[in-house]
Amino acid sequence: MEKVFRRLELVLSPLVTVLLVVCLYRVFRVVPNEVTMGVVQRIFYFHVPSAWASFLAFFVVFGASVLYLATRKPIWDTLAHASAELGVLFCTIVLITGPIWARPIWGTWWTWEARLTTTLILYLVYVAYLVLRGQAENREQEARFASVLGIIGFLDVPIIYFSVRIWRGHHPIVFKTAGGQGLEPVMLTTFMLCMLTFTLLYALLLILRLRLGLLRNDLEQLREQEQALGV
Amino acid sequence: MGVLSQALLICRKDLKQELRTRESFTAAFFFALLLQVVFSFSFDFLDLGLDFTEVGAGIIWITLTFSAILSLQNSFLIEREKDCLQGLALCPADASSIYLGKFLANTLFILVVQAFILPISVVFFGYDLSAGAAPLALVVSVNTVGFSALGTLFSAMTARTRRSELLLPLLLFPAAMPLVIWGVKATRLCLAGRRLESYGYLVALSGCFDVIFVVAGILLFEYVVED
Repeated sequence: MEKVFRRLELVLSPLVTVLLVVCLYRVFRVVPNEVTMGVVQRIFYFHVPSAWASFLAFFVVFGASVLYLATRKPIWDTLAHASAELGVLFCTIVLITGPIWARPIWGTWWTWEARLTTTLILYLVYVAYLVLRGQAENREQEARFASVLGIIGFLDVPIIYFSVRIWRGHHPIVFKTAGGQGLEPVMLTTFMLCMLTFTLLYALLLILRLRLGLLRNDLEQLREQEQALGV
Repeated sequence: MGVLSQALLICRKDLKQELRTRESFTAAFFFALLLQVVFSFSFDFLDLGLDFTEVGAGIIWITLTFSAILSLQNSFLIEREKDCLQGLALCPADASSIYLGKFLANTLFILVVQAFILPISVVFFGYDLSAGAAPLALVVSVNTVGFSALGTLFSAMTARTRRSELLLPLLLFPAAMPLVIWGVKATRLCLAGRRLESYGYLVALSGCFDVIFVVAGILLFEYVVED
């Protein structure tokens, strides 16, 4: 297992580095300005992929939580923890880049619109998830409680989105040209490249964080053994 | 003994305990009363000429959910004394029936507090509820069921953690946000004198939320109490 992670890491780290540079180049030098929004629209090449990565991360938390409760293998719990941290990280990026775009375009930093509000509530759910982890009495309890919350939290995602949508209106469709012929091909390819890059970035960070977590588990086990032996 | 009768036994135990101590009711009720006072100063109805039917739904829901947190918190904190939690876990009842029993008792406690607080809010804020009383009771009860379903599950977890008082609101409020959203919207329409048909879909949505999270609670509770 450890070997597989190491190998993936060796492949992914240079790949993601190169891709990130290519993305930056394309976003700032290659794609044209969007007709109505101008230069600030470029933030969406990072905003949307971050949103995608955070939702993917929360989905992984959900899957790993179910698997942990079913199998009780600590690796699933470690995976859920790693993914939740990354989800919160990407969610933070979304919540920071969103208002930067909204200020010049909507004329306001924040509006209580469906997707914004959902993202914020989700962010709060998973921050609470991380706080809960820190407050458990032991590792096994932490894993169980976190799994329960990981499942509940993900069940909540569509419901929260739906509920806020009923409350308020819609998110803008940002990738559209003025003529309404859909997305410029160069914009679309750049956008897709950014999506790919962020997905791979998430995968890389997840592997790094997972390995760290597994090492931590090993260390804890060694400490326990040491105590048991009375060394 | 079936799951339901076990659940009723546990619910009866909680009711008996509450009737003897009245801890949960006293705390939740007076906290709710206090919140009403705070709101009457936060929104100066007389001086600002505010209409309660416009902002009242928010006031009602903050009061109800904040005070409900106290009842929910107490539900498992009382079990922590003298290791009752362990006793509960050891008793020959399914985890799901413990959950159901606790959930029923919590729902009942919260509803009783609300039954006292809502008429008092009519007195304090002087709005007219004669026509909307029955629909409002429906809106409040349906949303309370879901809040209590999630709250019971979370309270069982947080009562076992180190700083239980700190955690429950942090977990419960974001997860129960849809209920607050639908509850506030339905209550606002109700206070505005609209007919139940115009916000019935909101009550139905809250009903779906209730079903989803009662079932989730029943399924997941065993993982919470197993130690």
